[in-house]
Amino acid sequence: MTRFVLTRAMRRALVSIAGVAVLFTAVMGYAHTPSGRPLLKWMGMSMPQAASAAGCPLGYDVKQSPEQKEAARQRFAAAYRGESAALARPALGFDLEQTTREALLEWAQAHGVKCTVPRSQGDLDCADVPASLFPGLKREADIRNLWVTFGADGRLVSLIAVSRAVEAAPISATFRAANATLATLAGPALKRDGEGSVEELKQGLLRQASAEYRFQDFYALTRVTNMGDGFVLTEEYRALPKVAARELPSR
Amino acid sequence: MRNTFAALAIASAALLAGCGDDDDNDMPDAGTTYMPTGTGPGTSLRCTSSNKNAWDTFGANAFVAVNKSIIAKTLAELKGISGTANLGESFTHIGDETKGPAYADDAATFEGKLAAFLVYAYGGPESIMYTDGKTYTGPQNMAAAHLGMAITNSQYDYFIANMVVPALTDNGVTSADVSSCFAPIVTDAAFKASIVGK
Repeated sequence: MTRFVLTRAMRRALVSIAGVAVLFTAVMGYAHTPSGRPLLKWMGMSMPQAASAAGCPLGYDVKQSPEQKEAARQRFAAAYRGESAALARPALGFDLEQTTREALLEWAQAHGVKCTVPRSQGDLDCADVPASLFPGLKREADIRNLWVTFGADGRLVSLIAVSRAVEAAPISATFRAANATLATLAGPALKRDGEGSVEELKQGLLRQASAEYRFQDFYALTRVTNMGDGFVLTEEYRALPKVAARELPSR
Repeated sequence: MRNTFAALAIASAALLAGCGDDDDNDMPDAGTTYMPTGTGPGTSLRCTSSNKNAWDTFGANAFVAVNKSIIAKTLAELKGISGTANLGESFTHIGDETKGPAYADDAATFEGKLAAFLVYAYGGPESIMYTDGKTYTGPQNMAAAHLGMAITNSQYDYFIANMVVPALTDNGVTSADVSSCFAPIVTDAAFKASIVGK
């Protein structure tokens, strides 16, 4: 049997490395306790991600880089992509992957819609968008918040619209109109839960109806909820990134 | 398996805590022998499917599953392409006490406290042992817990409609039961006011 003999210098080096490792682990462990937060914050000052001082230790409140946003799109697409391409990709009259940030801001300004840039990842947050700005879509409910996201090339990749009304009728009508538009222009829903009629929504608190549309290049979700003090409609319209033919789901 | 142990732990805690609640619930429902477990605000609610409150209808397994589902959906939303656009930034500061005392709890503690609150609020015991083996207390000051978060009406609505209700229905709670024995708490104006705009 071969016997390894460590020289004094080697033993010292090993002990030093182990000591540093233990000390590093202890400091990092302490830094992640509530009382160690100031230390974590101080350490974060030298990291690029923490350029906005006192940011979230998890980094969620730091704006995503174009690469991170694209990675998030890819993850979403991998989980929600359908098999066939959508006939078209309706998104409240905007063109997914075509409409630019500048064009959307011009549209908002022209119609007196106020859009702000959230401090975190969302690209634009437009408030109080009147239903009348969407002629032909048969919308009866105004949009309270329109959250807009752009891709690395500055073109529209997703829209999330939240509409609210005290009465069920305009929300129900808008839910049904949105689904009619999606079914006609994009294709049939993959999953539907409820019709979203006034009678159905009024059956009880938090009563919901929803429809989900999954295509190769497009995802949409409509969900209406009776919140008790009003009725809320959430609409999601997302462009899914293109995939190579070999990566498409097999039939 | 882990969830099974967690459920057993919660159920054990429920039984223990239940022993201490006898003085508050010494009368069964009229015409029945049903005596609710807890004393929280949802204790008197009755699910359409069972004519019992939510905790006594669904039990520990379901409450653990729903709580974890809410957390998973929220994290998926925050890590997704929309980031904090829909839910706001309050969730992202969890564990960062420098943002204010309401954020002092780390993510694991937040999850345990949320579970304890849901259990208590919907008719379960006042404290539970959660999946991390720690004991959490259900009765919590909602206004203090959300102080400085500036949660908006839209964010609250989005969270309830797109995280909480789907978490319930994904775990087998019917729409009728969502309406009858879960919704009255989170749609209550006073409850909402204790969270929004703080």
